[in-house]
Amino acid sequence: MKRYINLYKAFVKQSVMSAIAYKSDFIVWSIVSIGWFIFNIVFYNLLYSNVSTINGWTKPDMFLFQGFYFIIDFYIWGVLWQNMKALPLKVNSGALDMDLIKPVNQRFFLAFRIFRWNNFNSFLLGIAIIIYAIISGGMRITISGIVLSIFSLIFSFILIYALWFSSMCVVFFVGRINNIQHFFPGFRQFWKVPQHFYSGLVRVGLTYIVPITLVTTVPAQFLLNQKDLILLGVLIVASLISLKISKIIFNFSIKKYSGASA
Amino acid sequence: MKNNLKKYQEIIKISIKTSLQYRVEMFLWLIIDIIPMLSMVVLWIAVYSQSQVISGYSLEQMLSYYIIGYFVRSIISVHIEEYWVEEIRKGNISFVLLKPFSFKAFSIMEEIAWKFINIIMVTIPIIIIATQVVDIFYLPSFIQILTLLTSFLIGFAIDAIFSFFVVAGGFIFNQAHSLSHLKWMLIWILSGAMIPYELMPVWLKNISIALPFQHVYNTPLRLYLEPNTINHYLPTLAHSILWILTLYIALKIFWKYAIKNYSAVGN
Repeated sequence: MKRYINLYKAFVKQSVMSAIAYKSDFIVWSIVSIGWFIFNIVFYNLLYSNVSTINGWTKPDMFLFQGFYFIIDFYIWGVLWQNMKALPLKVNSGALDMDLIKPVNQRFFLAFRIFRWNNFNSFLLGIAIIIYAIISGGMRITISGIVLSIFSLIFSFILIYALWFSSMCVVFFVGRINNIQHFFPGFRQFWKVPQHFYSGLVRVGLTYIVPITLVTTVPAQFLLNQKDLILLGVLIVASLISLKISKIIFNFSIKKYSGASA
Repeated sequence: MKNNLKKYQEIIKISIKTSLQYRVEMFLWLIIDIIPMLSMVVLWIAVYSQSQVISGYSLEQMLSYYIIGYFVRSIISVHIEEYWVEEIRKGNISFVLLKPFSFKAFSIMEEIAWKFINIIMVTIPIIIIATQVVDIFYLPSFIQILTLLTSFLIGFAIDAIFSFFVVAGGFIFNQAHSLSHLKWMLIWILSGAMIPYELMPVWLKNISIALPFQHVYNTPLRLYLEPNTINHYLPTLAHSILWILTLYIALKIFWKYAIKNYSAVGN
């Protein structure tokens, strides 16, 4: 574990040089992050000028919830995106060979090798809006709430990684699929609203079968002192099962890979 | 002229065959494009549980806006930049630039082919299914159909021009995928795809109306949802044509400048 933490620190250090080299990319991503952030503020201000609550969520609650959405967006676009985008290219070109022979866990290397500071703004904006929501809403934040929130966020990250990586393994079976890296990020829209907004079978499916709505709802709820340990349990179980399944899927998929040297 | 047409005809034929071969990609775009609409529907249903009318929109009107809007976007949206930005970075675009036809025309023909197959295999079947589930569709008159087709063509042209701006950016910047996300963000926010213009703050609405993004979503959508807007379409049409000309000239200048920055193995 310590070895992988040190390795990841090295990856992050290297990425600083990349951020300095690709300044324009950093600037454009910053504009995109800030643009979406401003739009979300405008949008939810608009909604709450018409209603006082939406399925029990007040405006400060929703802004706090959006803060977690932005933090997870940083994880999607800054931590995972470049790696997931590179995978189909590596598989189709045979360049995956070089990654597979490295003396490190293959899935870790493929999913976390490249870190991008481009979207760090999303993380900062997420924290900023959470703080703003707490102050404007007069919320009482507890230490246990913060700890459980961070704890559940870790499992949110695990679930997202496992599901996205599993979906990317399709490239081992399908020759050309230029948009596969966009497939899973598209599902962000489902966790952009709280789990309580869904109803019926859709809510059941997105809570207990593929619990992607929990990645934002559970951490936000803990910070709001709405301790739902059942949903936390679902999130933990789902993320661990998904992690195991992603390992099985990858080990099965890699057998289809012929490589450049084979 | 005849030779050129024959060239592009062949490109379309090959692209149709390619799109039929890579059906998985098409199916994925369908899901990627439909999810935002679904999430907005869920959100608005939750909002309308608290209020019957919001800024003059009933729930049915709001859902019509997003569901019909999805079909408008599926017809108009252009994804050229998704593929070519990466090809430029790898230097693979060289072989296309050396061919005896315009790269832009080649890309447009490919996109039209994909769009054609997508509409036949995906959009039309979904419309048929949707008509059985929701009662928001109607058969437009002949004049409306002509106006809608014009509007779709204009929206497609504007979206394509912005795509080519991103592709041109790929010649200058090593990591140009962020430009693709910038284009996507500007279109989704300023075209009315995220929220109707009537719900926007005045400053945002004025910016959106002044810019050309309205023509890739709001204009064709209004022409369908509010048939009487056809009577006042001419000023909107003039606005769109002016923007197409302006953007086209800007693209020509930018493209000429950008391609000078391009270098690849063997060039």
